Amino acid sequence: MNTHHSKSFIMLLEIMINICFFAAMISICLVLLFRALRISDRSEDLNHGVTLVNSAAALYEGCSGDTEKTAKSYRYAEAEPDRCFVYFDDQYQECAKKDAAYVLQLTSSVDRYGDPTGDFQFSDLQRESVIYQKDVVLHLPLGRTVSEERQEMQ
Amino acid sequence: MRTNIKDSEFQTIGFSSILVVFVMLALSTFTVLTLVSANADYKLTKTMAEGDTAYEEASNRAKTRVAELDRLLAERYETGGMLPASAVRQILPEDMAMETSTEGCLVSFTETIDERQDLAVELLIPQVPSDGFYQILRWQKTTSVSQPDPGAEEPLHVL
Repeated sequence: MNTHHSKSFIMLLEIMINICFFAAMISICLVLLFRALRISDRSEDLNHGVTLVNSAAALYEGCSGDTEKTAKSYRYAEAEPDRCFVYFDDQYQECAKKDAAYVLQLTSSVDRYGDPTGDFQFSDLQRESVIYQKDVVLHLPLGRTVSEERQEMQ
Repeated sequence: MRTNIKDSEFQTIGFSSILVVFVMLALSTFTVLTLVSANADYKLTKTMAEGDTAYEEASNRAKTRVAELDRLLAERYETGGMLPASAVRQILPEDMAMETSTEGCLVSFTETIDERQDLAVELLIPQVPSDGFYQILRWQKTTSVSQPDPGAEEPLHVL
């Protein structure tokens, strides 16, 4: 009877130790898996940020540095004279400001020679952090006015 | 009957520990693999973003230089009315190379992107400006191919 009880006790002890060990390992693995998930989210954010900023920069160059024209290429953009905001949801699709998880901000300025410069920032609205940022300098060729003058003279 | 009971007890005592050990080994292996894979993915994305930024910075520097040259050409055109090779050579910055051709002056320069890549720019400046003072003939990222050192060991960068 005693032997049977002691065996049961040992078995119970073993199961309890296993459960404790299992719980400890699970908690460590969960922490590491959540860290991997966060890293994966960050790379997804950065990847989409680079693509969206490059796309906006190409539009900006195509519009010769006109912020309002650039904003018209987006459905939900908010345009100001020198700034433009485009909002994206958590699936990186354009959306209204109230549903936004990310924002692409374009700030346009003009240098001393009159050439436009665009500063593009793709930010996470929840974390309030900049994911990707780049500046684009444009130069509007001066000689174009020469050919226009000639056309006018002709 | 007695033997069967003993076997069963023996199996029951060891079985849970073995099961836990195997489950833990599998779980920890997959966790580490997931972490390593996510980290490698992030490093790759970051490298790509840094490369993109470096290219854009070099491109911005090149655009600024072209803009400066354009302004100099516009000033020269206002005084002379034409842009002969001698006039272009006078206003050309020292670090820009120039060749003459039948169509006009070929001006070229490079901007460094990183240790291995350059941005090569080539412009054609026609003697008589037609549509602008210059035409961009080349705006290309070039890779400098270095001869590998036969004695050096290169890492594979698998992860």
